[in-house]
Amino acid sequence: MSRFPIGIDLEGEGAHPAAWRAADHPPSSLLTPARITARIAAVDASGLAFATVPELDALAPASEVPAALDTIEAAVFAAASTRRVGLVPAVNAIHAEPYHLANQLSTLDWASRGRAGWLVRAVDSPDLAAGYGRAAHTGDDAAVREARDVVAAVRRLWDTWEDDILIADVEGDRFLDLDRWHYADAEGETFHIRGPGLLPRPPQGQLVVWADEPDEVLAPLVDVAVVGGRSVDAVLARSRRAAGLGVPRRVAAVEIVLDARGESAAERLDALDRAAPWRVGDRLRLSGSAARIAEQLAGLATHVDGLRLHPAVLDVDLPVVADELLPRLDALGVLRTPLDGETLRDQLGLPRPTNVFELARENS
Amino acid sequence: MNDRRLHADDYARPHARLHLNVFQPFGPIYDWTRTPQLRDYYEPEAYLALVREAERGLFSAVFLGESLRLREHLGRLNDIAVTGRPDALALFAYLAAGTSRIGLVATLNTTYTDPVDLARRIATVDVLSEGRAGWNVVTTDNGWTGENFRRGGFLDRHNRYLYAEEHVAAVQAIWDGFAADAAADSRDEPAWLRPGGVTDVDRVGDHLRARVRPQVPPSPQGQAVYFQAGDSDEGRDFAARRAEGIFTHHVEFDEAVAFTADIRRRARSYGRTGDDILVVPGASIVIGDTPADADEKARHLRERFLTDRRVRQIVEEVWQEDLAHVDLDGPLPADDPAAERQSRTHGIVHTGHEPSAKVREWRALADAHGYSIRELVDHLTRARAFVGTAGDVADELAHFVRSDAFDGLNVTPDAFPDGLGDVVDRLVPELQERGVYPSEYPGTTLRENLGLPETIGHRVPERAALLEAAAVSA
Repeated sequence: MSRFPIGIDLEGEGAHPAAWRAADHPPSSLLTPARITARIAAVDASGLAFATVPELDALAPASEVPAALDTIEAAVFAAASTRRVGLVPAVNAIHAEPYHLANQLSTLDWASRGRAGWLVRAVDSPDLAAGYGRAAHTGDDAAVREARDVVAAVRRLWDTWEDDILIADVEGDRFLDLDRWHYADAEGETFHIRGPGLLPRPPQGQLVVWADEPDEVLAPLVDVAVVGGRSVDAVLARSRRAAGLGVPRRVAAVEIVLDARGESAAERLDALDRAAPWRVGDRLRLSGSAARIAEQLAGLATHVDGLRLHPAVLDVDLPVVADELLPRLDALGVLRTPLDGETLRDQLGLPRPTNVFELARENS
Repeated sequence: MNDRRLHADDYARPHARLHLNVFQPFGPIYDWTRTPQLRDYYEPEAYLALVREAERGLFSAVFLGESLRLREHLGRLNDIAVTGRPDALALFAYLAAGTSRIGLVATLNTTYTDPVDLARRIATVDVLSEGRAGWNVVTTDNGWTGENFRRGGFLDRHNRYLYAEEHVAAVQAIWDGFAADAAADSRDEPAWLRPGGVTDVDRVGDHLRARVRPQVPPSPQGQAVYFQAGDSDEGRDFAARRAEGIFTHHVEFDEAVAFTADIRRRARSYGRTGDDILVVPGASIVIGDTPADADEKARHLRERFLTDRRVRQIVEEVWQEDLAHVDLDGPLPADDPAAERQSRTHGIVHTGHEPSAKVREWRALADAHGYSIRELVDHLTRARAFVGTAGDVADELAHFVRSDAFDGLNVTPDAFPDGLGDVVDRLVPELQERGVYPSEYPGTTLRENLGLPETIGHRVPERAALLEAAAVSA
């Protein structure tokens, strides 16, 4: 049995829509820096390998907690006080400026010394588009093709400075080696981005690119597919599908509710559901003792490359994840804990990619 | 100079204080020879070291120039300077975590950003820093920069200000749309969000449209402090209407006094008090043990700045061709440039896009003084610096600030990341002794530390009218 990394999703107060009612702090302190630092420090110390930072769909009608910070900046802020955990902000590719996005994400990789990823979202709607004064994409796969073009442009921008470009040759009065920079000239269906990017190649070469259930248009640009599915069989089928599309790593998203603070998971869920029902979505949901959930999660270790946990209430479930669930998974021989100095690529067993411009030169 | 110096009480502003900001322009940094770690220029951690040093010296803010395209020279990246740096707001998120008092001011362009993104991103820095963010609003019509963006160069010179007006108004409306008490204070309230806590913004202007639901709560300072750069008549007016700080380059005494008086007068004409706008020029400071020592340091920095390749580049920028064969200690090239327009590469020399006019001006100057190319370039690029012993520079700065020549300085450090030591350890104590510099931060937010009142947007009637004109309610 192999060991795999386990991460967490940091949505608001937790995955349950009533999570804010069970949090340890009043709603108005959700976005204070002290609270954000405390939470990410707990994640970093726990043995969790990565944290995804979800984007808020502010215009979604059912948003229980309709406030959130910019995901990349929140991740950079978290990078300043953590050492091991991978930081994966979600950012919608559609309507975004590829140049800004490439630089912001690259800055995250620099700030975290190679612990950064990008969870690509490819969502469009008349409301989202109206934020940018545009119309939503129409037609079969116009939106996802747009997302593909943005991801491709961002990836190309990351390569525009080759490694070893900084030379500081005093004699020749040259700081940079001009043979090692390139225009991106990234061509999309609706844009052309000249480049080069704003700063040298990110420490990981390329950030780890994640996507939820990428389709065949996006999949070739994705390193990690996050897959849902209500049953273990469904999860495995989706994982196989992503593998079939050539995505190197598959991570299963699992909702969890743990026995905690003297209450059973069922009791907790009951109370939370009375405040706001947690509709069964598209993910596996496990509830019970840490021992039981550890057994169930361990069963996935041979089928997927990692797990992303969605705890019902972060304040309540995270301490149990850290103190009971992860140690049990470790004892079962399935948990891979991150080490100091590892990059997110190291954690996921992904190699540092060769620069496309270097590749082109070698092949010419 | 000394004969001009008065007793403190005889000044226009006897009790004025000086603000110091650390200014990191978007490159080019020419003195990279003393840097052991080349990657430091891109490491947020190195920036943190610089900014902590500034915070130790009670600096009001760190101020970043804008960064939308790397500098080029004759169609290639400019390789003689450090170029590039982290994204400003992402970097600020990092600095916010490692500092507690210093302000974080980013220069961000309205032309190549969307209000929905910029509003969220600036507000996030403001929240993460507990009220220490500032926005230096700039605008451009530069199509060369536009090549890095979806829309390309889409604005002409005049419309860029109109576009900027609508952009800024949209950003401020998005900030206004999330009330300070929007979130519940208790977990027992009926909902997380209180009724009316968030107001959708729906703007349809002549130049941009945006329908946005605000998602970031206000910070302890309400909204980010609003700076502006710009020296044209239009730019000064734009600033005087709404800016809370203005970034300039006027540091010659008479010029600075006149500029500041002009800005205050314009601000008063818009119903403001006039002293609710801070005038902050950029300058460098060189401190020595003796006047001669300071001069020697300044001369050394200058030499490092004007290397042969750099001198040649400045001439090549105008001629738009490789001038490798030209003797720098001889006269300007005899032939006029073949190029009719200067390429718009954010180069060093701003010619107004007509090289021939610039060349005539240069030739006249060189003839009048008998300058070689090197001497001419030295003359052209001489920037104002405050050079002297800590005591002398402190005297001079006290004189400037009490005379209302400016409110503060944006100081570019002479090295990275450790170029502020002399200012912090030697100049600041002298300034404190003269009563023009505080001994601790007055507050925790940037607004408090700059002595600024609540967000300007709520106080300027002009803006209310503008909002009405531009907004179409949903």
